[in-house]
Amino acid sequence: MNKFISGVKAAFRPLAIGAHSINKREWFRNLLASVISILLGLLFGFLVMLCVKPQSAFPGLWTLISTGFSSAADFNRVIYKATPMIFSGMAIAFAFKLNLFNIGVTGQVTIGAFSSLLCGLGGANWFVCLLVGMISGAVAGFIPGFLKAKFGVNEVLSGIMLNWTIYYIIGLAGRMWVPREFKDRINPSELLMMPEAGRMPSLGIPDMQQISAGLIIAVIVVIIIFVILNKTNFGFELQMTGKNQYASQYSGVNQTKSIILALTISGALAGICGYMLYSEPGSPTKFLWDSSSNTLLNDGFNGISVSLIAQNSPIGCIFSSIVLTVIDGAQNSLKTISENAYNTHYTELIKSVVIYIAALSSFFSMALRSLNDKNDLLSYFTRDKKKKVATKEGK
Amino acid sequence: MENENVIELRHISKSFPGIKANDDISLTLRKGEIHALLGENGAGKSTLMSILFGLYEPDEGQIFVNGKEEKIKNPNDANRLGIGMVHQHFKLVEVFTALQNIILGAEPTKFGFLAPKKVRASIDALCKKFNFKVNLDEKIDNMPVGEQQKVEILKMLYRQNDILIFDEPTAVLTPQEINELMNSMRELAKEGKSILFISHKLNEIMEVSDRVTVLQRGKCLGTLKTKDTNPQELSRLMVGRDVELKISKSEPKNGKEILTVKNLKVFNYEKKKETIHGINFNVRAGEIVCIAGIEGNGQTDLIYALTGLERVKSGEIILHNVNSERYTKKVNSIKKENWLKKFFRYIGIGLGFIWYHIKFGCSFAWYYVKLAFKYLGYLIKKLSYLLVKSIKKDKCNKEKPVFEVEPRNKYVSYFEVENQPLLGDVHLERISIRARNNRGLSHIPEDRHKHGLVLDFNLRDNLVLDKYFDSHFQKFGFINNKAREKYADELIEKYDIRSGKGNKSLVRSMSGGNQQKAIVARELERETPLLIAVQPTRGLDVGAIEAIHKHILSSRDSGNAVLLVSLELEEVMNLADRILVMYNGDIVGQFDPKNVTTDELGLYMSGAKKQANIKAVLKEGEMIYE
Repeated sequence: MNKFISGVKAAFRPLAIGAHSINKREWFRNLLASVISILLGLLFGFLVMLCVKPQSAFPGLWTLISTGFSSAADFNRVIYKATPMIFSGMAIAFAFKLNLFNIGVTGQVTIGAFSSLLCGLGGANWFVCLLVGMISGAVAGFIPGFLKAKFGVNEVLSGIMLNWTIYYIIGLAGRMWVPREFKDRINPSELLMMPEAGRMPSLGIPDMQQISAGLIIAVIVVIIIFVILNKTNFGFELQMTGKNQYASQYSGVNQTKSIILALTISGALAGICGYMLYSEPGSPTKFLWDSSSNTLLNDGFNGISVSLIAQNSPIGCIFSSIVLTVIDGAQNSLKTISENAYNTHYTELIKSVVIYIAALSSFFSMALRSLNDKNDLLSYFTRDKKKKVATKEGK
Repeated sequence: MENENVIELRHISKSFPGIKANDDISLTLRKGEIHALLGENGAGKSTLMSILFGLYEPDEGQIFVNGKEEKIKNPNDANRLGIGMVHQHFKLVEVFTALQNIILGAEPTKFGFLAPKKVRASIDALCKKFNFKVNLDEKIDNMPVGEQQKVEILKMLYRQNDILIFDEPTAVLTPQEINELMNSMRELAKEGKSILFISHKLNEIMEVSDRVTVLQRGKCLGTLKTKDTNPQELSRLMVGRDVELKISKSEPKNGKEILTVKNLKVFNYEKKKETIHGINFNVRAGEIVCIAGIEGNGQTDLIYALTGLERVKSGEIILHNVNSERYTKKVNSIKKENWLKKFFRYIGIGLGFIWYHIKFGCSFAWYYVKLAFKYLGYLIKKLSYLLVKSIKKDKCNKEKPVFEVEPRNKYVSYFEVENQPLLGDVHLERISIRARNNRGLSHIPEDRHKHGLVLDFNLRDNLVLDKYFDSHFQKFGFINNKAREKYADELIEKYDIRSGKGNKSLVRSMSGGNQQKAIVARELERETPLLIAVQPTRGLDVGAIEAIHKHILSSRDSGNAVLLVSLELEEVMNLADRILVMYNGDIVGQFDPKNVTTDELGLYMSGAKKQANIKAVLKEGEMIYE
């Protein structure tokens, strides 16, 4: 038996990464934790599929992973859907550096989308529209920030309130003040499609026309945010305040300023997300303001899971939003893999299970951190067996 | 029976990343003895006790309790084996009464309901037996610290623990209370309880213990009989070299006043009461003023008010003669404009631009042109003003008036006060914390984990926590990590800060003493005219205390004023040039340390005595001692 165990161990030796090398660099540990959690999420999704309809579980799992990359059109879809999500994820992640949970992202996305669309319909250039979306998002982010910093109002509460306030204000504004020529003729609760000039320019990759300049902007903004957080005094102040509020007070950091600026920048990022949602090249989605439907935009909330999987790292947001769109996009294919396919309820369930487990990545990060210096990953999992053997021999 | 080993630790080893906390330590505890555990900070005393109490598992080694090998995995196991511990910071529920705290976790029940009366008699008997005067129905909140500690001890006795661990029990007590504790420890030992006693204080160990085990950097240097040794030998063993137990210091040079506090009142919003009732005192250049007192008599609020962590209700705090060029430069590098106004202006420009754009279509280029003209005009105006100013130099270059805070009923805007000139006397009570720091105040905080350090930052970043904005460490707002590292290495060498990975080690992973050294290094290196140190040597070993005391003294000798708050009378007597005793939010006495004994100070600290004309004396700023 012992021989067998040691044989198995030898086989897996290359997999056994030393705890020391894991914990040496924080980003590597976080990356490993994120990968582990995504794989585990897929495993649980697979288990659900096995329970529901065992015969199509294996093709189902393969569909879940591969649909996003199977054809140029699919990849195109994944990238252009992921681009706005990078921004909403980053918005959440940035506020989280200060331990602020900016749940007002949804409202900021909505107002960013609305104002930039109006601007675009008025005939503005695409970059101007983007700036307008960004600024209006920033204003919407400033409000909870100001309330938090000056009056100590909980940013979650004021954020949620603001979401609904913005939702109904837009409903009202859409009905009453938006000129008729901006509205859809058949369905007046919709804005017209973003005109050509207001859409982001396509990068012109053959077969993937919808991949736009937005992707490049996203990468640039990610780098800017990374530099701000890690290389500047302002980022140092933010991280200090996030990690120990009292110490930053002691060192004389202006906390009012930090809180307001963090939430404003977060809102600006959300505003950009709002613009990008309704302006991809090709045939963009139309913006609805029907205030009788009583549902907020989902895209802001998606940002929460993006930033959770990425563990609040701005660079991680790029990859985690791609992962999320891949899983999201595979739903339609899951319905048609065979005669015995999953219906909508099951695909929703599978998707939510995968995302739920994947969002536990910070837990895995903690588990990895608690590894001892002596142990590598493999011996960590087989440690108890070893001890038992030793005590038996001792007796 | 006398020499029976109750606890035997054999070859215990425990390591944390980058550090070996315990290296092959063996220790025996006999029945009915008081065994002291002595060692520097980071020597591994706390780790060893945590292993014994089940908070950590050892990497190697065995633990024998009453001759049987046991594996202690959590505190419940320890409890089962009769091991109890009094932590340095008491683990009591503050809103519960003493009795409730004692029975918490092992509640006596009757038909499933609480029945505290059942055990009350036995607890009373325990009190009588060991001569504890504890009111069982008093809430912990209202108890003095010494009594709280007795509740902790009763808690262990109630559980019938035979092995008692005391983790630095005397750190927060007055001399009288320490004496009482020593007596009750002897009583307990007589009753057959075995006591493990962790301390840095050599005289206590000499007084009460039977045997001493000395640890140094995780290794056991051996166990000595207390009768056969002396404090000098112990301190040499502990630190590895000879230590001056009593620091020799020169006479204080009484210079000008640096800090004056007038009629200071502080209202604590958490406790919802006034905690400082009109205090007057001053600190002069080249002297160390010590504020002595039992914990919770308003020292914390006083220091918070001086350093800006708490608002002042009324009164004045004046820092005199702030004119050092060093600070002027630093302050000039800080932005003077109201950032909020600036922010709104930019937002306003943006919004106006959008409005214009939506209203008048896409011909927004014209707007830019207009805007440019507008700002050109503004620029020309400003430049011409500067030109005129430079020509009429002698008229404009009048000496700046010394700043004074306007009467209280008049509203003083934040930025007027913030930008007050840097010459002359500065009123601290209304300027921000950073402004205070930059005008020459450094502060070693009481709670190193709360205020002093960001535990999740590395040592390098923590050493520049209150000067990262200095032009030396940044350029255009971007961090200069190389300068930080170089600076950190210098400080690490100068102040002997030990850690696993040098300037890159996480502060959380460092031992408490080294964390404290890092704070002291950071603050002393700023060389400000006023140093406020609150318990700078809390939880440090003899060697480190000696080093820090020397640093503070050299700061004093170079002409800086030092305000020291300490709960340890030994330190107060050693360092102070003048002692102020605080009781219940007031200063009740001023003493010269040469003419006063610790017992006398203890009487003032507990409120039993008060100097008659102390208020008047302090108000005059005289140095008359009673």
